[in-house]
Amino acid sequence: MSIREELLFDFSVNLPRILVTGETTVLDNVKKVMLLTDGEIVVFNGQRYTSVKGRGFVITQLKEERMLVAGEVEEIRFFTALQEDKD
Amino acid sequence: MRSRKFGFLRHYRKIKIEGINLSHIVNKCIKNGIILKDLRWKNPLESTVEIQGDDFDRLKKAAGHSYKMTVLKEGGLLPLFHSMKASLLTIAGAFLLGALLFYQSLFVAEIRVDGYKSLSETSIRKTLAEAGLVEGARKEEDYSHVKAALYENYDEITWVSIFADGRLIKVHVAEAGKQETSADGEEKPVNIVAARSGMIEKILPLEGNARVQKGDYVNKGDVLISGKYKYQSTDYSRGDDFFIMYSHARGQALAKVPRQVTFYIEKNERKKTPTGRSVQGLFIRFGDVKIDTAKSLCKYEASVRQETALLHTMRPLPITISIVKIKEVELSEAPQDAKKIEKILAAALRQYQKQTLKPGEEILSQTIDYEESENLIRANVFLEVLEDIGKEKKIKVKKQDKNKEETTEENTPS
Repeated sequence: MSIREELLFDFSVNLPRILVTGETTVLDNVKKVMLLTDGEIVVFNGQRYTSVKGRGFVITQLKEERMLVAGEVEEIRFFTALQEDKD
Repeated sequence: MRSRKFGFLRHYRKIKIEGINLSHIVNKCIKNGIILKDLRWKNPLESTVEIQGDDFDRLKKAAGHSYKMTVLKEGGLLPLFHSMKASLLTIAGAFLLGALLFYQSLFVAEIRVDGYKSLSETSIRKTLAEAGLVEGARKEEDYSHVKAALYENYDEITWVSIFADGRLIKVHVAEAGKQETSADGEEKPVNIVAARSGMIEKILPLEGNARVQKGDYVNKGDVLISGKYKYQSTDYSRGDDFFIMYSHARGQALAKVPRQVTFYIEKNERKKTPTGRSVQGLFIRFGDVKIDTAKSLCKYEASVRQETALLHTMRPLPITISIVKIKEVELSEAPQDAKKIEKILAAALRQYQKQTLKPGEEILSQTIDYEESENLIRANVFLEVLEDIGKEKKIKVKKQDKNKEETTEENTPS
């Protein structure tokens, strides 16, 4: 990674950042929780949304904009709100 | 946001949140800096979560009336200390029980003796007690001194094993069997000779030929039952010569034997006369700790101690509680009367008979001479004892011609 990319990765506080290892998921920059069930979690990161779908989700910790999720992940999606929704 | 070290370790609450739209309250928590742990979605109306103890009020305030919150569980060190404080008596009791269990494990609760044949368990236990191994005594790492005491007291014991199984001490002894000791001697040719001089009263040869009869006077070393036979051969291959055959002579030779025994008896009898004064107290023994209240109060020069046991237990702990009475006595001496001296002497003779005479032997008659000194009475007792005077003596066999008789060291009674 270039320095620019590194800086972007570390300091972009309004963009989605997600790390998945086995059955543990780390969601960063969580500004707001939009949907929360044991099969789907949707969070707002400031500029975009992150959607994680799977099974048996348990939020092991939610602290300082970081969400630790345990459970089997099947799908990760990033999206933005439509202009008409913003209005 | 407040920073609290060990927040969850210190105190946490597991809460059930009931209400619609869980994400709403989660967002409130993010906004207020409330840390959430183990958030589980159960159904659209119910979830559970763990929060720090201090955050509960803030969460309730943030949730308002839209959610119902129920504390399911409280954990962490603070609630633990609170519950411990509430059950201080229980903890103290548990600690005391633990201490008691540990303390009682230091003492011997039971001794099991096995492996003995000719010896009695009572006598072995007595020896063990003398060596310090008794129920209620402190357990030891090394019991070699007890083993040494057993070997010293009993020649029959060839092997001793002592090991502790918890509070149970197992003592296993092995005795030398009679067969082991006598197996070698059975084949050797021996005569039965007189161990001491005496008048033969009864001769009973079980093997061998009797050389004496009732009424004969024998000296020490005379042959009583001979293990040597002379016979004429009927075997044609050997001819009709005389041959000598040897055997292990056995039998009983009871003879009247004089014995002299001296007993010493105290001339004066000590008397303890109670003065009427006494001290009462309590004696408590708890393991190795002994408390005797009467002993500390007693200042008498001469006294007699009486103990009445109230409690004497070995399990779970060796505890003894008794009432002690120490009576003051005055010591005085008075000459013993003749009847009492006779009684003492008769008892001493019975003891002597028990210790020295074998089964079948008895005292036939006795004559007593008394001699008086300053403090003692000397009783010279002359006894006529019927005793087995026979003892085995090996026959020295010399290899020689079949026609000649071999020479053996034999004396015949005159």
